[in-house]
Amino acid sequence: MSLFYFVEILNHSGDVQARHKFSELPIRLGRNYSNDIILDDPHTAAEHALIELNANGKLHLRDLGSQNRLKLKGKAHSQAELDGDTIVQLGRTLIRVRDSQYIVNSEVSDSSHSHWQTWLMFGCAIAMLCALSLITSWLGDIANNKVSDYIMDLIKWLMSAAAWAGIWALANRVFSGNANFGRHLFTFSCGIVALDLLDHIYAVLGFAFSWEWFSHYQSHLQIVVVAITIYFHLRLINHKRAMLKIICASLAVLSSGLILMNNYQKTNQYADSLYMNEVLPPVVRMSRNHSLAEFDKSIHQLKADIDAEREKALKEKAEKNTTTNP
Amino acid sequence: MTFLRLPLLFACLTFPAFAATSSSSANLPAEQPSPAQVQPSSTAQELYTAAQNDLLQIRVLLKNGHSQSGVGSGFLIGTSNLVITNFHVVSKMALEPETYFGEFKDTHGKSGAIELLAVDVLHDLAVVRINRLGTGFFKLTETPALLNQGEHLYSLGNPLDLGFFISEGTYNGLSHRGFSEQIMFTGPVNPGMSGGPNVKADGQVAGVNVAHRRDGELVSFLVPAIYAQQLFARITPESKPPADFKPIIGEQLLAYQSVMMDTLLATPLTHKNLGPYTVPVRESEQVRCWGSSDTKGEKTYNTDQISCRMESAIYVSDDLQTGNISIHHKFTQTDKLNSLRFALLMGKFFSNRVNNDTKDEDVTTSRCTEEFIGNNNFSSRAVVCVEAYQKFSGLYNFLLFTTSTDEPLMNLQSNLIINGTSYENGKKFISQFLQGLSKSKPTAAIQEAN
Repeated sequence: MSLFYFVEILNHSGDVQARHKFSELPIRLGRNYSNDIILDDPHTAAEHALIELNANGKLHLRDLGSQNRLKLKGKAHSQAELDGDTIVQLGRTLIRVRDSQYIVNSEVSDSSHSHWQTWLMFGCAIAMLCALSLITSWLGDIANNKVSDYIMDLIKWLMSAAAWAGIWALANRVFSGNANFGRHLFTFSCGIVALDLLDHIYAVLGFAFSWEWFSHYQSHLQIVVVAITIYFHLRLINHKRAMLKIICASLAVLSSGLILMNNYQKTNQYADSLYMNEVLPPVVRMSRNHSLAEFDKSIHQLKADIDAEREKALKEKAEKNTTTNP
Repeated sequence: MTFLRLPLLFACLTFPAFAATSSSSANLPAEQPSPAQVQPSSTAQELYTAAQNDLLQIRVLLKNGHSQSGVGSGFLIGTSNLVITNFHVVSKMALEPETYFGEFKDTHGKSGAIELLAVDVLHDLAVVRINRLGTGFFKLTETPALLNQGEHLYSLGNPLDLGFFISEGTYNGLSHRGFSEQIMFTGPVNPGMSGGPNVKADGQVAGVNVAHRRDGELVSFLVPAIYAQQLFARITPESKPPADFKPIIGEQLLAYQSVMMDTLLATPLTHKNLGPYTVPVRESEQVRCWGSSDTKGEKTYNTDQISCRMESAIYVSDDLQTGNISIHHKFTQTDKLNSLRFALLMGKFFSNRVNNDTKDEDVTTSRCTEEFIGNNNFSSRAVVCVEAYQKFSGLYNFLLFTTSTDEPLMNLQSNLIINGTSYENGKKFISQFLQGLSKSKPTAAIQEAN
């Protein structure tokens, strides 16, 4: 059986840009037109490298005295053994060499990208968005709105969702060839439904059990939901899950930190709001009513806080004055 | 309906200085009686001629750049070197002496430095010392001037920095809207005349120009001369200006709030009905209540509101007016919304009650406490937020707001604002206010009991 050699020129995402088939070795690479493969890369030498078999009978790339030499994972070498998965950088060109005996990965099941599933996701996304839009419009409708107002709201929701998913699909198309619009739309819908549910859960827990601190810090859980949504968007584009997880988690931590900092600068407190403003029907109430005497006591305790606050403000001002008027 | 008693200085501050200087010189000669006219001189003419040497414009300037930041009027007392003006004219000198200084300008265009000696924040008065003596025209007597309604009075001053004016009007009794009485004067008192004298036809000082009502025509207010006399009497030739006015102002504010709160709490709060709820209000000479109702057909809910407020406040600085309270009750009910939608709407009404966007120079950021409370068959969510005054110790602003949580299709939201009070008094008022909130037993239950 005759053996063929394939030299593949890759782009920076690792996809094959060009594939050259050879039946015999050695194969010469360089900018000169005397080479077997002509590299259109000013960072390569006229006669840059040579593919041949080494003493062990393995494929092997040898530098022919070029200035930039061969780079393997960023390190310069004068020669490199090629096992079929090795990617070598010549100048700025990436190459990979395989022979016809190279064993390829097993076939990937097509079920995850099947047509009907994409349409199902698309349909689910639209259904979720419609339901959410109608519920939100209904809850906020205090002026006996007409049907046309509900439809206008619905259109606004769908348009924004399409715009968001469209941007992700575009990025998806650019970086990995496949738009995946339906999946992005589905991801967005899940995210937005989760955010909305979270709002209601906060309100119910806060109001029912008088857990006002829930609503004081609600922006942080919202950030978590947004970060998870963005992670699922990114995962459709890039498959390096561990890296994406780290990126999304650190972005979430960063945003949370910024919010805490911003709140502190505004009010000297880390909470998002100074009090809980959610009101729900009386049936939701679970916690007991406090007596006026108890409330009076907590107003009394507030005095220490506010006096400390004043001390702090005065101290800050004094420090500011000493720095501005040395 | 808005009722604002705005200090005169407010408009002065926005008045462009360049327009003022160009027109004042042009206007001054017009005030002099022309020798060509051989008419009998009017009372106003005689008064102005006699008073002009003791009439001053008081200017507050920025130390950095010497540009004027506020103008008012003042007058020399007797043959002393002391000048009476309004506190609000010179408040920047009192609060920020490191940034502002003052000077006077007389009717002949001469100017000189002023030295702030004493302030009376409650009556909006101040005494400054200058390097010139009065001619003795303006005298303060220990007994207040006898005034009859309709009697002619004359206000002098330098309105809008245009030049010295004399304006004629009538006496219309005393106003008790504030906790210190003021003379009601029906005559033009414009921004810039603040601190100027108001005299009777015989030259006796009746009061000091202080404010006018923006929503009325020629409705102006004067500080009765007796308060100027009391402040003036405290000053001896040896009096030195205090190093820091803030503790003095703070003490005056504390004394004022104790009078204010004692008066407001002297009698039990009045009760009014809104739906099944009974709400407390304070109706008195100083606190006026207004009601309104919104039952427009296209809305899904109806509201009835009662709001009470004091029409006066103590001016401390442009950003800080204090020593007042306001009460607001809003009752909402619906027969078109279900309980969830109604509650969410009430949540919207309940939000954004505390301004926490900016850090203030005058007060600290708010600290709040919140709780579900039940009392008198009435249960509600109540929030109390407190701010402390940075410049004056022991003074606080209180904000209480509640929303009822006992009826699915009815809601009562109440709001109480107390500005510039001691902690004890604020707490006491809040406690009385909450005591006053109640709900009647449902009528069905009463019938069953019968």
